[in-house]
Amino acid sequence: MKTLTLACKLLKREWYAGEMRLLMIAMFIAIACMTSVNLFSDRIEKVMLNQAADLLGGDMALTSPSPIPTDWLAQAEKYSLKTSRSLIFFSMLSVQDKFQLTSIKAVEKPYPLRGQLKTADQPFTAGIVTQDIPSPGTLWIQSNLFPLLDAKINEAIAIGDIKLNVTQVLTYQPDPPGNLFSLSPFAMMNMQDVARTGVIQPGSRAQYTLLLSGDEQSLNAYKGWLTPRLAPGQKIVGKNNSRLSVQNTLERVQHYLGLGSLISVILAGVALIVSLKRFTRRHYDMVALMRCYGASAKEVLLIYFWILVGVGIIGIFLGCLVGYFAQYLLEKILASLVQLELPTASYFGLWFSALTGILVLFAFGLPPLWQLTRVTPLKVLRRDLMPMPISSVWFYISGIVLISGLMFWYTKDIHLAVIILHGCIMACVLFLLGGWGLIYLTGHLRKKVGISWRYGLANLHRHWQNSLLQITAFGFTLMVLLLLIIVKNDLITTWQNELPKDAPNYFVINISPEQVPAVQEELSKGVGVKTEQIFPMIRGRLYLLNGQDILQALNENQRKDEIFQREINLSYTDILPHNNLLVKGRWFKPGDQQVISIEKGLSERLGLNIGDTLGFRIGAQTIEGKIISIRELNWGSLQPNFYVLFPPGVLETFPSTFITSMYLPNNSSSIIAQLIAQFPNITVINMAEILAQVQGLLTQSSNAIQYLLLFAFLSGFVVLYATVYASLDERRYEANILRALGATSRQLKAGLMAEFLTLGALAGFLAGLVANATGMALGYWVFNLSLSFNMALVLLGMLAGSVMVCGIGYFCMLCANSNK
Amino acid sequence: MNETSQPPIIRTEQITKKVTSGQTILTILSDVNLEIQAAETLAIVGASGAGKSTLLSLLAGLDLPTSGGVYLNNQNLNRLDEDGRARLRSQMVGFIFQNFQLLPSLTALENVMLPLELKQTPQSHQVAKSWLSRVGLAERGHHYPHQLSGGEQQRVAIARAFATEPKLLFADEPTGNLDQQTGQNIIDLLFELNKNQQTTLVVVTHDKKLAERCERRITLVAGCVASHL
Ligand SMILES: Nc1ncnc2c1ncn2[C@@H]1O[C@H](COP(=O)(O)OP(=O)(O)O)[C@@H](O)[C@H]1O
Ligand SMILES: [Mg+2]
Repeated sequence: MKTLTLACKLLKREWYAGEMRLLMIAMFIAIACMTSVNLFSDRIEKVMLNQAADLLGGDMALTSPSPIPTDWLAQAEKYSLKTSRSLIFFSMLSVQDKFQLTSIKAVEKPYPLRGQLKTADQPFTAGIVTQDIPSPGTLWIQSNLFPLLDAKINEAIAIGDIKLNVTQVLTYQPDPPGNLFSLSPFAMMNMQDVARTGVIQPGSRAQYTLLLSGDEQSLNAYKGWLTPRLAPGQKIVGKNNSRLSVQNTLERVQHYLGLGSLISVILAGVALIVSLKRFTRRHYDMVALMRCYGASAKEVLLIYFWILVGVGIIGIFLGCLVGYFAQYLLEKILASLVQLELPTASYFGLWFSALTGILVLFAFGLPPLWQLTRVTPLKVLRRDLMPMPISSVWFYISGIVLISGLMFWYTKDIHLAVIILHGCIMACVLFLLGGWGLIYLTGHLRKKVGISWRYGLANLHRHWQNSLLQITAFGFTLMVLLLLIIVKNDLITTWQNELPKDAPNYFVINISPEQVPAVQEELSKGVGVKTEQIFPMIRGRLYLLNGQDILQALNENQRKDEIFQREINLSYTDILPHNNLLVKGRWFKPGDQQVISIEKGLSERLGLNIGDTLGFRIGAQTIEGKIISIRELNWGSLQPNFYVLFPPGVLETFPSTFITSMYLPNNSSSIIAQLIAQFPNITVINMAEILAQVQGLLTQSSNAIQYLLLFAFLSGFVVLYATVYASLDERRYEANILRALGATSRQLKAGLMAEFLTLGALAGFLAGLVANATGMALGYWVFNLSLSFNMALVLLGMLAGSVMVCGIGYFCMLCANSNK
Repeated sequence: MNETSQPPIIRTEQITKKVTSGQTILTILSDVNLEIQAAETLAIVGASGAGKSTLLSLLAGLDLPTSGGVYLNNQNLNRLDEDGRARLRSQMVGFIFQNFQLLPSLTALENVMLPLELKQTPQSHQVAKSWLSRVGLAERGHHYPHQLSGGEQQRVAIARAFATEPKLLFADEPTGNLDQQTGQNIIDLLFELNKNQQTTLVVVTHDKKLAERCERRITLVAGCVASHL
C-alpha cells in the first residue's frame, strides 16, 4: 500500500518529465491497433462459431456432383428430418450484349432451413429478412450484377434457353461449402425453372446439395444410414466440421491482420525499452536516496512497478477505447470481402488486448526496471557507483518469447509462426547488418561535406546503436509496405507479362461430347479466335498404388495432398499437349493399354515413379494404369492441364464433358453471345474477370493491412522520438558547446535535419532492397515467377523514409525545445 | 559527556575495510575502534582519501566491513541483511551530503517529504512544511533544486534530514561545496537544530570551524585512527 501511494505521487511528479508520456503513447498506439484487430477477429470468430448452421443453411448438408437419389430424401423424412434441395452451377447471365458469369443457386421451398435470406428492392441498399424464395419465372441477383449487366429491377435476364424476371436484389444468402468461386457474383432462382434453362446436362459441373435439419439424434442416425451409401465425390458436411469457403477466407484475413498488428506491438516494445532505459538512468539517484532512507530493494522495485502499471493501464485503456472505434473502419475496408453481417463485438477482444498490453508492458518494461534493484545505497556517498548492468539478453528473450507466443496465437499454426518468426529475424539481421555498413560508409563521407552535414553524419555515426535501432524500426515497417505493393501489383503484372500476347483468355467448359464438333466449328468461324486442343474430362478418385490402398503407402504429409481432397479430372489424348514437356519415360504409342502419364509435381509430392501402377475409381469402376511417362506443365499457361492422362481407348465409355481454352480478341463478345445462345449448357469463363476478382481480394486485404501499418508508423514515430529523447541531454550539451564555438542555431538545425534525412533514406533504401528480395523469393518459390528487381520501389522507399523521418524528427525537435 | 551506564548508540569493533581494484587489494580502513554516545556530537577529520566517507558508510550500515563489527543501538549490523539495515536506517538515521543530493525532479517540499513518505509518517505534508519554515525556506517549497542557491539547497537537505526526527544524523562534508559565509550559516543551523532535537551527530569534515563545534574529534590518517580528542 505504501509503495502504491508513493508510486502515485512519483507518477504525478514524473508525468511532465517525458518518458512516461512516451511510454503511455507507445502502449496506446499498439493497443489501439491490437484491439481493433482483436475485436474484428472476434466478431468473425463469433459468426463462424455460433452461426455455422446459419452459414450452412441447415444443421447438416449432403453435397454431391450428381443429383441426389430420391430414396435418400424419403429416408430423411423417415427420420423426421426437414429437407431442402438446392443446386449450384455456373452460368452466363445476359442482358442484350452484356454477359456475366454468375454462380447460380436454384432452391426449393423451404429454403434455407437455418439462417435466412435477405433481399432489397433496389441495388446497393440494405436488405431485410425474407421468408420467401424466388418464385418460378423470377430471379434474384446480387447488387454487383446490376451495373455489370446494365440490368434493372423487373427486367428480364437471359439464362440458358429462358428469360427470368429480376424481382429482388439478393443481399445475403447462406454460403454453401465447396462453392468453387464464392467470389463471383451470385444469383438465385427457383428449382422448377432449372430444367427449362437447358444449362444442366448429364456430366455438367454442378453441385447438388441436400440441406437437413432436425434434432441431433435423428441427424446422427441418418448420417449413419447415409455414410456407407456415399459415392465418390459425395460429402456430408456438419455445422461443426464444415469448412465453408467463407471461413477459409476469413481465417486467412484474421491471420494477416493479427500479424500486421504485431508490427506495432513490437515497435511499442522497442519504444518501451528505449524510454525506460533513460527513465531508469535518471532515477538511480532517487533510488539510492530511497534505499539510504530505508526503502528495501523490493519496495523500490514495487514503487516503479506500480508506476509502470499505472502508465501502462492509462495507455491500455485509451488504446482499447480508440481501438473499439478503429475496428469499424477495418470492417468498412473489408466489407465486400467478408460479406457477412457481423455480430457486435464481445468483451473478449477487449480483455484479450488489455491482457496482451499488460504482457507487453512486463516483457519489455520489467527488464529495464530490474536494473533499479541493483542500485546500492552507497551511491549517495560515492556518486560514480553505477549499478551492475543486467545482461541485456533478458531484454530480448522476454520480448521474443512474447512475440512468438502472439504469432502463434494469431496464426494458430506453429509451422507458419516459425516461418514468419524466422523471416522477421532474418529481415532484422539484414537491417542491422546493412544499417551498420551504411552508417560506417556515411561516416567516411563526412570529410567531404559541409559543416552541418558533417555534424549530422557524425551524430548518426556516434549514436550508432540508436541509429541502427531507428533504421531497423522504420525500415521494417517500410519494407512491409513496399512488399504489399509488390504483392498487389508486381506479381500479377509479371505473370500477365510472361504470357504470350495471344495466350488463352477464355475457358469453355461443360461441353457435352456430341456438341464437340459443332462448338469447334462455331469457334473456328470467329475472326482472330485461337483455340487450344479440346480435352475430355472424366472425374475420378485416385485410390490405389500398385494394387493397394494408396493412403496406407504414404506418409501423413502426403496424405494431406489436395489430390485426395476431391475427385480429380482425368483426360485422354494421343498427342502430347503442346505446353507439356516430357521429362521422363516415353509418350503413348498406338495400342498402349493400361498405361498413364502423370505430372512431375505430383510424382515428386507422392514419390511416384515410372513403373508404379495407379488405380482410379470412376463411377463404380476401377481403372488401373502403369506410369510410363512424367510430364512437366506450366500451370500458369491458362490451358487445360491434367495431372493424369490416359491414352485413347480406355475412358471413352465413361460420362464426360469437354474443356478447351481460347484466345478471343477484345470486343468480340458477339462470339460468346453466339456460343451460349446456341449451346446454353456450356460455360464460358473470362479469365480477366477471375483475375480481377483475385486482384480485388488482394487489394482489399492489403488495404486492411496498410491501415494497420498506419499504427505501425505511429509506433515507429514513438521509437524515433524515444531514441532522440534518450540522447537529448547529450545533444543539448553538445549544442551548447557548438553554440559557444559560434555555430548558429540554423546550422545546428540543419545538422539535425541532415541526420534525420540520412537516417530515413538509409532505412528506405534497405527496406526497398529487402522488400525486393522477399518479393523475388516469394515469386520464385511460391508462384514460380521470376520477378525483376524494382528500382522504383527502392527510390520510393528512400523518398518516403526521408520525408517521414525528417518530419517526425522536426516535430521531435520542436517538442524538445519547448520542453526545456 | 559524563560516563553513563547507557550503552553507546554506535560501537565498532576492529573494523577493517578492504576493496579489490583490479589485481591489488586496497585497505581503506584498518582496525577502527569507536564508541559514540547518544546525543553526542563527533567530528571525523582527515585528509582527502583518508577513508572518512568509507567509515561513515559503515557506521550508517550503507555498507558492511570486511572484518570486525558495527553495533548500532546494540544491534550487530553484520547480522542484518540489506533490507534489515534499511529498516533500521529508516527508524533512526538521517543524512546530509556534501553535494546535497536533492532530487532534481522534485520540489523542495517534495524532497523533504520523501523520507517521511517512506516511513509513512502521517501528515507528512504538514511536517515537511514546518521543517522547511524552520530552516527559513517556508516560501520556497514549490521551487525545484535548480532554482535554489547552494546554501538554500543544503538547508532543504537539513530539513529533510531532521524531518524524520532521527536519533542519529550523519553528515558528509556538509559545507564542502559552500563558500565560507554560507558554510558558517549552515553550521549554525545544523547545531541549533541538533541541540533542540538532542540528535547524535556524526560529521565528516575537513572544515576546522565545523570540527571545533563538535564535542569530540577523531582524526583518520590512511585508514587508521590517529588521534582521539
Ligand atoms: N569501492 C572502492 N573501490 C576502490 N577504491 C575505493 C573504493 N571505495 C573507496 N576507495 C578508495 O578509498 C580511499 C578512501 O575513500 P573515502 O572514504 O571516500 O575517503 P575520504 O572520504 O576520506 O576522502 C580513496 O582513495 C578511495 O579512492
Ligand atoms: Mg569523502
